[in-house]
Amino acid sequence: MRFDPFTGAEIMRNTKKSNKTNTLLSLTTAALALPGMTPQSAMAQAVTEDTILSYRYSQYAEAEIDGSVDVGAGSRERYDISIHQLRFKTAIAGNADMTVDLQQESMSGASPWYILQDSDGEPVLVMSGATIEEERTDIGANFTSYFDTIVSSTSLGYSTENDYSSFSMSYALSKALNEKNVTLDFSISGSQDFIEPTSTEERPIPIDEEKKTSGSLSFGFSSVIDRTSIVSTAISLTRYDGYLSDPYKRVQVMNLPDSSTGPTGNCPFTLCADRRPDQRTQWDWTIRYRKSLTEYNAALHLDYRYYTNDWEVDSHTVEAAWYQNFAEHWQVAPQVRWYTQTDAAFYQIYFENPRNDGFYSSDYRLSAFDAVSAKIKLSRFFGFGALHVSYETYSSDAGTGRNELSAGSPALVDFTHVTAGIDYKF
Amino acid sequence: MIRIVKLSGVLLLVLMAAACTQVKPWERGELAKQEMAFDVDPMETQIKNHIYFSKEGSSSGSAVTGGGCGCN
Repeated sequence: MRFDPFTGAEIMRNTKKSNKTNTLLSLTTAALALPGMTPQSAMAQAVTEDTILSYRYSQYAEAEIDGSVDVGAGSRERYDISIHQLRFKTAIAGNADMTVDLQQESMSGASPWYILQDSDGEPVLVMSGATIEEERTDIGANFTSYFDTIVSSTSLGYSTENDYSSFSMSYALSKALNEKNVTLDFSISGSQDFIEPTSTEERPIPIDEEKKTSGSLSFGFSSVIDRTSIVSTAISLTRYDGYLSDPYKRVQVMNLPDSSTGPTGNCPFTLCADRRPDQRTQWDWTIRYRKSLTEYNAALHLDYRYYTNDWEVDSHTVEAAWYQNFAEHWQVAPQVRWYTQTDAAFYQIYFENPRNDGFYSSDYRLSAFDAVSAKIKLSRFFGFGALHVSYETYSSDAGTGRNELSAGSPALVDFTHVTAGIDYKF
Repeated sequence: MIRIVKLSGVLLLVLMAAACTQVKPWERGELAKQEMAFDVDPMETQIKNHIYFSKEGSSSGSAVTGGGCGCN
């Protein structure tokens, strides 16, 4: 006997009424779990029968800079982040429900600042000196209405931290067809972000306040393949406009005119501000496959995502998970993720000559790198809900760049992520 | 981009053909299982996407992934 952790209802099998409802549940969840949507708006299942309160606590810890990397200044220790998540979901009408999310993060540590070329032509990483400490609060609300073959969902969000704030909203619509074997999905979203970086004597910032706007469209399709498998695919287009650079990063550019590299020039002592184009257009395509393996009391998940943007970053993501039920109320889910990306057109660890377009970045997140992560999650289901714990380890390495200065970075990050949580219905 | 459109088109045709297999409501018991959801744990997905967006170069494409520029 098993219980749905989100409704507390005993999961029935082979009854016409419950299976019709639950299959639409699976497909609408699938339909709204689109690349362009967050869980705030992708929570759509059938109208919740119970009020549900969920809490998660996560601890994220980045590994120290490896001993083989030459750190010229600053700390080898990197970021630690503590995260509290709270979710409240309840029915607000006969055919609608509401979900409210609250997230609180506390961040502290040092981060990569720039990379210098030493007298031997080798890279030297410079980290921020003083420990950065920040708090971020994120709140979101989702309203979903359910009709016979249509699900309509609206989400609003607000996020704020010391130097950044963001307003966002989205709308999603799904339509079931073919006796609810197929679902067509559409979503649109947008956000307005404001950045007011913190300038210090150690790290002076070249801007006072900037803003960024984004908009996204997504189209998707989900389908029942047979009695034990379903598939979903979606394509998204996103456009960013405004300030897209990182105000806290610098990049060394050599052979600049002397007027630029003086103490009051644009690039004092050859250290220029991180400067990226003020527009970015990106596409991504995702496909997800779910297979129930009845004889093993398990399910297989396979996901693939392709991403490309006009900064020339392309990436592939492959994720696989195995959900194994055991001892009637337990579930263990090992997962692996493989990721690879190419470098941005204007990325290098440092530049031996200026670029014609004036765009530069040494941010490791724009380098060519590969990453692998492994995760395991354990869940225990009760009549009142469920308890969860998970552990993830992530490791990245240099990939194949357009040249030796764009393949990876001495600042590439490894991290671990531990989460514990509870879902409670009342 | 053209490759993505072509690939999506082929995939849509494949999926539409697959959807022609009619699975009746009373045959969908396996599909209704919790572990068969495309997003088994939305809260976990939310924080996962936020972390990967902050540490990698290909964001989720969503404008609703929560704030923070991923700076620092």
